[in-house]
Amino acid sequence: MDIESYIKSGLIEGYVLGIISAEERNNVELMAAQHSEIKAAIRSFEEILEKKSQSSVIAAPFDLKNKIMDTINSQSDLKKKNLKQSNAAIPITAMSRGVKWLRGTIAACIIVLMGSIILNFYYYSRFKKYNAQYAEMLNKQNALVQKNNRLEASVKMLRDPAMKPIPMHMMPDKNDIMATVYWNGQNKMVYLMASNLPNKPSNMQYQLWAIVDGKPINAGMIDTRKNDMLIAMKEINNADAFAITLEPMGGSATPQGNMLAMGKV
Amino acid sequence: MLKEIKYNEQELIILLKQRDNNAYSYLYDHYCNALFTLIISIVPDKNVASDILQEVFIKIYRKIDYYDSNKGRLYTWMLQIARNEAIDTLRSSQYKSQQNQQPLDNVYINGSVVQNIDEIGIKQFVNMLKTEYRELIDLSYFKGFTQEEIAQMLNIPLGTIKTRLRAALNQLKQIISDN
Repeated sequence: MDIESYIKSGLIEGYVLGIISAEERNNVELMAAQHSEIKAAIRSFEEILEKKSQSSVIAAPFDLKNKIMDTINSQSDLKKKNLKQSNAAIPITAMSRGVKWLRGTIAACIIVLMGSIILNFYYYSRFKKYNAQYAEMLNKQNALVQKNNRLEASVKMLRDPAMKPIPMHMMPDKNDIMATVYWNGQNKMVYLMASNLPNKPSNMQYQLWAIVDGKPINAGMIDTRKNDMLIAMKEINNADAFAITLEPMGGSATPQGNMLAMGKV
Repeated sequence: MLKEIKYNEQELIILLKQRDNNAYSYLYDHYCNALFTLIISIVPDKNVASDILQEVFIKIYRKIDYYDSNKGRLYTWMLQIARNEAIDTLRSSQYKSQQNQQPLDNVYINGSVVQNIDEIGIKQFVNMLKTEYRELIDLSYFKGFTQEEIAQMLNIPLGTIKTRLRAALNQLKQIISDN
């Protein structure tokens, strides 16, 4: 997967501006979930867009804000999740009785005031604690949502009628299936679902090949580190079959290792 | 008078989801002009654009729970809501039948008068593209046509439109970065 050329393809800008097709959007989201450089490129364009589009602006009409805030305020479910601090301030009213009584009352009021100040600190620290917990929960939720999004994006791709599954049979018995290649006949994108890749030495890597007219063409390295359901491979325009070999880390220009699995298109 | 509070993006999002009024007030103050500028770039009528801006903020308030910070920044999300709302209006029969559009009169930007609506917001950058690129971005971004629709309208194969649009976007990114 050539990330650099993907980032220069204009797809990312189209995604941020919202003008590409649903299929292209799914593809970008899948790429962003799998490659942090792509996610970073998206953020970077968003930031520069925000910054530059604020430079020459037309002022919105002045009276608009009040109307909008009124409408927002009158919305029914205004659940305020902030903890309200209770201030128990007791007003010191004028006394008609003796000074002694007045002093006593003032002393009592001061004690109550001290108590309420202590309560304020207590409630504030609880507020901070709950706020922090809430923020942490949101973070956890975000992580789950992100994981779910990645899975959803993969499922969407699989449902595409143009997506053709090609089971990769283990050689030489051809009994077990090592993996499944998914090739989209329309946009020529290739994905791999690694269901049964055997353990391999750490200095070697599995490589996918597309066989065209008997010649093997590099379809990319199979990277299972990120635990994705669908691994993005190189775009392949034509293939009669796909094959998997085990190569030294980084891959080879032509297959050096034995053909470990093959699937006919 | 409340002290001016500044929020970072994360704090702001949490507060907006909690329906905190100060957060929405801050959001409006900070982004109303940028959003208004985009809306008016699509629907060049001051009154209609004002109505759309109101609708947009109310939509933001109602839909804030659907905002997913993993998919993009808050501003991008708001911009998309604003753009969708503006394009819907542009295509509505109500707007189309409205013949008398209120043109922008003497728009002031940072003290200098701008006669031309093309000098504002993202449009200023789009105008620096070469003609065929500018046309594509105008049709897709400012008029809301899909790539398929554009291919049909211009009688050009969809694949060509896609390639050309991506090249246009790439150049647009360059222009925005350089200016």
